[in-house]
Amino acid sequence: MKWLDALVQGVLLGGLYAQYALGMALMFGVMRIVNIAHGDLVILLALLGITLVGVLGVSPLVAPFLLVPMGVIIGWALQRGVLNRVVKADPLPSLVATFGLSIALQNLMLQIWSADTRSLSLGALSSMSIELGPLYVGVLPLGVFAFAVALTACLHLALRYTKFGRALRAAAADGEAATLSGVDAKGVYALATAIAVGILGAAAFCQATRTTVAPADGGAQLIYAFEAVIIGGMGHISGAFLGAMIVGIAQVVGSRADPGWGILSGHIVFLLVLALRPQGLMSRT
Amino acid sequence: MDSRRLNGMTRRSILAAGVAALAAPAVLRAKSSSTIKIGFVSPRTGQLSQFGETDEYALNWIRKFLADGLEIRGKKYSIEILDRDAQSNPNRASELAGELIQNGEVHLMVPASTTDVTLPVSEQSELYGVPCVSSTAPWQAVIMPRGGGQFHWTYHFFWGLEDIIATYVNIWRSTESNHKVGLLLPRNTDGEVWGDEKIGLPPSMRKAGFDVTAPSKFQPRTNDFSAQIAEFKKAGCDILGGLVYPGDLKTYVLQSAQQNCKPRVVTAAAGLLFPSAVEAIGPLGTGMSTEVWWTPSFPYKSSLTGETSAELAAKWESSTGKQWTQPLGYSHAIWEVIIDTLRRSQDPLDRGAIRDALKTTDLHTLIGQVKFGGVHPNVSKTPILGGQWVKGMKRPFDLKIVETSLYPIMEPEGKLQPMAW
Repeated sequence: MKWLDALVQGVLLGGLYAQYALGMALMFGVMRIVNIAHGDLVILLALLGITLVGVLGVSPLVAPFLLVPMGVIIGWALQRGVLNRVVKADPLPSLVATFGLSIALQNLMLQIWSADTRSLSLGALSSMSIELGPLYVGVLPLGVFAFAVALTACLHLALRYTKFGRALRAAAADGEAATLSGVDAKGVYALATAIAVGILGAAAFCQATRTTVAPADGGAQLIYAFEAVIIGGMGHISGAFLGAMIVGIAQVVGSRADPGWGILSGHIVFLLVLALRPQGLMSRT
Repeated sequence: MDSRRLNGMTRRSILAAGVAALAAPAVLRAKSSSTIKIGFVSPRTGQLSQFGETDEYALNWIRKFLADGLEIRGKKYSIEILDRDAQSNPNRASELAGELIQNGEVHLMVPASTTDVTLPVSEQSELYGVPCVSSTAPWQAVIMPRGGGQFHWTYHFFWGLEDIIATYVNIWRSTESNHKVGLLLPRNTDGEVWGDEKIGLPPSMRKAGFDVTAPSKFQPRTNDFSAQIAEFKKAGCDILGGLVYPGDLKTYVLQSAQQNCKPRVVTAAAGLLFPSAVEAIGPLGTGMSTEVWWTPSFPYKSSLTGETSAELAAKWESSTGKQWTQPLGYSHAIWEVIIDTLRRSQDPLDRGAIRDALKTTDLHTLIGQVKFGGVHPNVSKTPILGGQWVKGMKRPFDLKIVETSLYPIMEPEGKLQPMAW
């Protein structure tokens, strides 16, 4: 029973990591951009959400409906304004750009919001759970997981069957050839980042409700997103979801063996995958 | 450094220059003949900036207070405070201290608050022989990493680990429970010390008749606490205690509530210091207990202004619009100690004389009596009480004092209430 509980909690935790990993996988898959500022964008959106909920006096449940569109706009502007200038075959310029962006964002947020910890409170909802025999499944983590599953399915289907998805895959495979065939590669890139940061709007809501946010917190979750993306296969959407599940389960199962080993066992599984199948589990190459 | 010789040099150099105003450096040196320079290092930005916030407030106030200078033994001195931002970074603090001592030629060094600032600045001050007074870090954190022996230049006033541990045990003894405590400690220096089997919480708790369940330490910013929760549930812990930062504490209590693990008492160090942190935890923050080292209901007055703690807090709230925080009292009290030291020193421009005065400090400040010696020659222990966050009158949460048996400086404002969940 102890291990079944660990498995369930691990899957729920994986749902959280998937929200961070999906956008990262999308950006890497399409543009080969490793976005170091990923975590800081989550914090920025979370702080914007907390401020907006306070100013507008609306229920915190409205926040994701504000944050996702804001994320889309921020992502689009980020790609158009900054990242499109550094997307090249060489991954270094974009890495440096997002690294700089990360530092700039952290300091900007510290200026605006100070180092205070903040959060969104969902009141009784946040501590509610469903009793399944001896197991308790939190309502909120379950919602996060369901959302991650739906998001993965939508992204996967959109990439496979829509015109935008085809353009995206074409631009990802060979930007110049896609441009020659009439695909606006830069426009596609902007949309891809818009979606990726839009997803972070949902991640920001989760972060702000399940724990607290402060300007310097951005980097903390980044490593798990990286691991999930690499385990799944760089740039593979359902791979990122699978990777997130594996990291989540490894952490929780590991911590049942000993609470000090939780995060370590996630890292060990990641290293094992890197050693045995460096291209990632879902990668076809 | 012998500053009397420096003064002599100054006077001579002025005479030599004839017209002092023509030579800018000479003017500066001339100014120093009756200017006391104080180096002030505080974490104004970065992760510890909540401490720097009250330091800055106190600094603005003391600058106004000292605008007309300070009279010491019938002579008027002007006071120049060289304030620097350590950016919450110990390396930066150390650099700043070196720069202030060697280039700024400060007579007195004040690392205002937090271990990350007080420790490196104290080290530099001891090395260069500059009197240094600090606070707002458990005294062991400032003394022990430097070998723990007696120091000649650096003095510190705050409580120690032994006090906070005793306070926690007292809080838990003051309420009905099954005497089973679950401990949640992070995998870092603080967590290791707290969980230590010799000097940490577990031995004191066992001595007081508590059963201790201590799962191995968690990595800060953990996203899942289900393993710890399962252990606490299995042991049937009525009390949850530990050292947990706000983010981890919120993650923990939400998951604990979801898992139907609802201890009667939740007491946490570090994470519940600031009202903003309790607000971030949300409704479940109601009823959580923590250590208290200053509140507006402290029974002492400022030796400089005669203000009570309540008056100081009210002033802060009206000028910043924010709720008072615990470091506010200490940010004020450190200036009481500084001014008192300068007033008593034989020569306030001589580092040695200032040190001699600092060493013999015996002052009743806003946070209690400061008198070095006792537990360690360079340390003055100050009171620590137990408090509980309750639903506030004007603000979302108020901190009420519920435990005073270790330092009976006042009557408790109430009895510890069980968590409402």
